[in-house]
Amino acid sequence: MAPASQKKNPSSSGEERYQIEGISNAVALLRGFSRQNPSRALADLAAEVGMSETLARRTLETLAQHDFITSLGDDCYELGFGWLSLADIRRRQVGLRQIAYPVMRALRDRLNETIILSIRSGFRRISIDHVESGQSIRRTAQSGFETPLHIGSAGKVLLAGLNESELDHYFTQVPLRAFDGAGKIDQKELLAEIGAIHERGYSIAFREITADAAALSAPLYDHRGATCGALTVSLPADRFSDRLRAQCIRELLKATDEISTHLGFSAQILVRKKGHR
Amino acid sequence: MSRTRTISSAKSVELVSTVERAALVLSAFRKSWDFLTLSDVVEDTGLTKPTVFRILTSLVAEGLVFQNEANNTYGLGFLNLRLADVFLSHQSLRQQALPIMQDLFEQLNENVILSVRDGARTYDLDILESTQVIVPSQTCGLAISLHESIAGRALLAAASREDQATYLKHYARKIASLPGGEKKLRQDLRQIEASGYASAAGGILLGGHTIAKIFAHGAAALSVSFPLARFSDELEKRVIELLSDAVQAVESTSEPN
Repeated sequence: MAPASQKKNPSSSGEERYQIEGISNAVALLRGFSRQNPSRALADLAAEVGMSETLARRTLETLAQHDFITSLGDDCYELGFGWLSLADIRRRQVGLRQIAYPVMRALRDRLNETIILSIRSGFRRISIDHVESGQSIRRTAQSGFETPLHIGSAGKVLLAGLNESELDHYFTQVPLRAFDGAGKIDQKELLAEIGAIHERGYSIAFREITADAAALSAPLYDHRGATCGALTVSLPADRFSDRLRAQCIRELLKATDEISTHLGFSAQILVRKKGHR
Repeated sequence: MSRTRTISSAKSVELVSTVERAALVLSAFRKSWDFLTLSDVVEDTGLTKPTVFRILTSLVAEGLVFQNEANNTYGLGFLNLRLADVFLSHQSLRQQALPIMQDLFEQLNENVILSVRDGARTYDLDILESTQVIVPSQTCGLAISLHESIAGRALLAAASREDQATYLKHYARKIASLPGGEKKLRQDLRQIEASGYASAAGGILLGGHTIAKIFAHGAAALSVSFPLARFSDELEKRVIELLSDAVQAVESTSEPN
């Protein structure tokens, strides 16, 4: 889904008449390239899109003039490097908050619980945006709220995004104390929890920051597969039934997938990254 | 693996004018990182307002552009990310280089760039951007003539003498307008050949210094760029050493078993 502030499809009644067939054909050809089929024969591509080979060739050669397509010879084509600059600029134009906000609102509407967006700044997790539940008893949120990374579900998701040397550095720099500053947190248990977050893709915290709240967080990934944020569903602890918990997990993971996809992430990037570890 | 292409001639196929204009409109977004108004695109492309409006409407419908309803500006759509992802998915050189670039980046926290040659041009396949407050602004995928960037000069220096001569002839007028002209460029190329790396301020990166080293038989360059104000002899020496190690590491991963 495109963020709500973006008009993805013009209404069929008004703006369709302004659409240009040649552009629709060009985009249909471009969509014919995929990770599985990065190079395509002209005849196959034209047949798939329902265009004559002559028009498909003319369209592809026009795109090639602008580096959007590369001709490999023998009527075979692949996408050109021209998309790199547009993708790079798109990433700079549209930030995490702008992409996440409409998805957060939709998630809040489905669950009617408070949704919080957090990022990492050094060794701290910072809430940068939120959408509150409409229920009479709800978790309130505050943008700018900070905790160390080892406290709370969002912090732990961000901590799980660090590599081994960054984690080691964290443990040498940050005392592992509970939110109230009194209780100690066991490093082995924390590492086991990080392992569990990698395994299942989310983190749950129960009465960790406030005595009456529960929270469930999942990571947001950027185009390189790096954890660039955490999305949290937070609610009163006494409402956190098994049934609601299962629903929250399902909906949260759907929302984080959607935001990560809009940030340019694809699951194969993560598979490759894990391969390098 | 990236292919090294020499300067090629355009094919004589009749172009599709609407697609040509749409490509011009998309290219207008390369000029800055800002959202554009309809008037900005009209001014940049030289097309009429109704034409640009219709093209933008089509591009919005296809997902290549989105419209900010709040202020009636246009930005680049999600489909650009998907197409770039498909392009990158079969760039094996990038996949080999990326973990090594990451190591280099962690040691320097300066921009680390992978550039490849495409005929008479070079473009950056990937950039790991420094997290420091003052950093060079660089965008992936912008085609730049080889002589205009430091990495491009390193790539040109790695080319055969025949290829270099063809290039210098083709761009003679542009090169003549550079400080020192063709003579200075030839001296620079010989120096790069002799030292094995290019290290210079400027090029297309105004106010920046770039150090570049070639690999993949002259098809690609790994560079480090930083603001001129951070330049020191010690930093240059360290970057050259680290770049040499990084290039060796990339080449060793790309060797057949």
